[in-house]
Order: sequence, then C-alpha cells, then structure tokens
Amino acid sequence: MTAQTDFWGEIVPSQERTPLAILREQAALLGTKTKNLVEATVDTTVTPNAQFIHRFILVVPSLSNYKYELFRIQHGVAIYPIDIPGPLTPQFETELQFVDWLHSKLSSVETKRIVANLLAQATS
Amino acid sequence: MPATKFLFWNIGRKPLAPLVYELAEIHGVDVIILAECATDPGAMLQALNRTPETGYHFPPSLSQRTFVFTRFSREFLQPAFDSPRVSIRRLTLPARAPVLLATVHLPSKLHCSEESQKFECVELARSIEIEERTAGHRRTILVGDFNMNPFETGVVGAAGLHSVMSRRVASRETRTVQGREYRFFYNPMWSHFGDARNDTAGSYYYDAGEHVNYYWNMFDQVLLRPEIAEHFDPTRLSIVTAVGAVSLVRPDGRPDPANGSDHLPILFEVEF
Repeated sequence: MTAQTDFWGEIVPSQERTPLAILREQAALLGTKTKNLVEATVDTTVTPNAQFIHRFILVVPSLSNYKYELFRIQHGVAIYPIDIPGPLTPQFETELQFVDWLHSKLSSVETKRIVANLLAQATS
Repeated sequence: MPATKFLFWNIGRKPLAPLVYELAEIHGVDVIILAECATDPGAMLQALNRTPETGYHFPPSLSQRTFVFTRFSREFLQPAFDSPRVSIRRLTLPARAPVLLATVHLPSKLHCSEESQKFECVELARSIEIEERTAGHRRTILVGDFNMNPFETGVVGAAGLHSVMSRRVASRETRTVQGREYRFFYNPMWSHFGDARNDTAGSYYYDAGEHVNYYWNMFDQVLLRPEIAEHFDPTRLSIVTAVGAVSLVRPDGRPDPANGSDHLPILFEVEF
C-alpha cells in the first residue's frame, strides 16, 4: 500500500491582525478611561451565510448592565472587505482603511456624547 | 497555587466608600463583597478606581443585597443564580480552576424567627447543590452576613449549610443521616470566637438584654467546600479592626459605627 499524500501542506494562522482583535483592543481601553463605569465589549455572531458579525457594545454595569450597540461590522471568511451594515454601507478593503474608520468613529463627537451621557447616568 | 484575596463587609448603609477603597488598597483585595451598601454601585466604582492602578469592575447581579466588585474582568465572573438575598456566580480565571462564589445577606433576627432562618439555610444549601451540579464541580466559596452564628442549627444542620469547625471533619466530604447524604462545608470562623487575640471577640456585637445573650456574634462568615478548604490556610483569614490609621473598633474592642460599621470586615485568601 502506498503512503497517503498530504495535499494540505503546512498550515499556519494568518499573520494579519483580525478586525475582532482590533475591536477588542479598543474595547479594553474604554474602561480605564471611565473608571470602569462604562465598558465596551465585542459580541460576535455568525450568520447562516457564513458572515461574521462583530457588535461593538457599550456596557454600563451599574445601570443594570445597560447595553448600547455603538456599531457593528461584518465580514466573510476572507476578512476583507469589511462592511458596516447600514444605509451608507461603507466598505474597507484593507486593515489601514478599517483602522482609520474605527479611529474616526471612536473619537467622533457623536461617540463622545454617547459615552459622556452614559457616564453621567452611571454616576448620578 | 495562586491565592485570591476576598473582602466581605456589611457596611451598614453608611457612606464608607473611601474606607472600602483604603482597605482594598492596603490589602490588595481582588474581590470585594459588600452588604447593606447604600452607595450607588457607580459611585462606589468611582471611589474604588480613584487611582488608575486599581481598576475594579462591577459585574452586576439581580441580587441587590450584596454588591461584588472585582479586579478581574467582568467576563470572568458570570451569574449563575440570583434571588433577592443570594447570588451565586461562576468565577473562571485564566489557567485557574473554576470556582463558585455565593454571596448572601440572609434575613435578620429582627424580622425572621430562628425557625425561618433554618429553612432559609435549607433553601440556600439546595440552590448551591443545584449550581454545583450544573457547574460540574464543588469548589464553592460561600460568604456573607448570615445573621446567624456558626453554631446555629441552620448553619450546622445537615440539611442546612452543614458547616463544621474542622477541615479534617469536612474533608470526609459527606455525612449520611437517616439514609440521606449531605455535603459538608468548612467554617473557619469558629477559630475567631473569643478574646484570645484581642478584645474583639466576633464580627458583630449586640447586647440583647434577655436571658440568653452572647454579646459577641459571628454573623459575617465564609464557608468553604472541602474541595477548596484543603488549600485554605486559616491564618490567612482575619477580622479587620483597623484600616490604616482609622480604627474600626472602640477601645473595648466593639465595632465603632462612628468610624465604620456595626459589623467588622472579614478578609481572607483562597488558593485555587
């Protein structure tokens, strides 16, 4: 009997930073800025058509664990492109484009207003 | 085996957040459990996270009788069971054996007869057994204000919490009574009765003015299942009488509500 041939070759994880890892990094940073009054978490689900959906959620533990979804992103197994579901559905072809967008989203006036409002309620 | 430091304190609805912060900071507490905490959890978090190094989290629970704050990420402390007076959570730390943390503030003798207190203990024991079965282990830490002494029937009785003063006895794990098997808890608080160490002879003082009067009580207790008690060093448990320069007791050793609460905090380390 001849030896079986391995058609797979060597498999190593992609060196690319995944969107999930990037989102988690940013989520972990929020608590330290708010004395853990407002924290962020990333919830991941998989759709029946094999799309990954990562929801970036603000959590206020002291307000009965109040949760607010700041945004969600979606991508397939190829990771890129990343879609932002919504009326404008922007799409990012590279990590750089996604990180630029994430930076502007998290530092936007709108996001800061939401976090500030949650902080005010958490301490009132 | 790494040790985790716990603090339990019934703060008697007093604004003691700065003192809780000091206590946690001085002793490097990992998990703070507060009963009768009238301070909003948000305000308590602000006080606890006064300095950027601390970083306590508030994993919420439906039980409003005990609040838990922890240095661990909220994801590591997940709710398992909640009732108004009991909260059971799964504490799962990376590379550590998972444990169950049950926190309680059981009914006071002011509003509950001794018989009713016993039945509360039976219900509590049943809830713990159910969660242990679900979790698939019995590494349970039960802590809180029981409003009962370690020698009372609800705390000692087989169908109640079935806690004993000796690790050697508890290490038998179970005892059969009338053909039914009951699991033990180890109760290290027994060793803290009396004035051998100092004038503070318990965690709570009450002069009842009736025939039977213990004066000193040990309502604030931690009970450990044998599976976790075997790694427990009883000398790493203390009733706290001072926070830095602030004394929590009067010169006669009794809790000083002017500085702290009418209950004294208990501090303990558990390895798991």
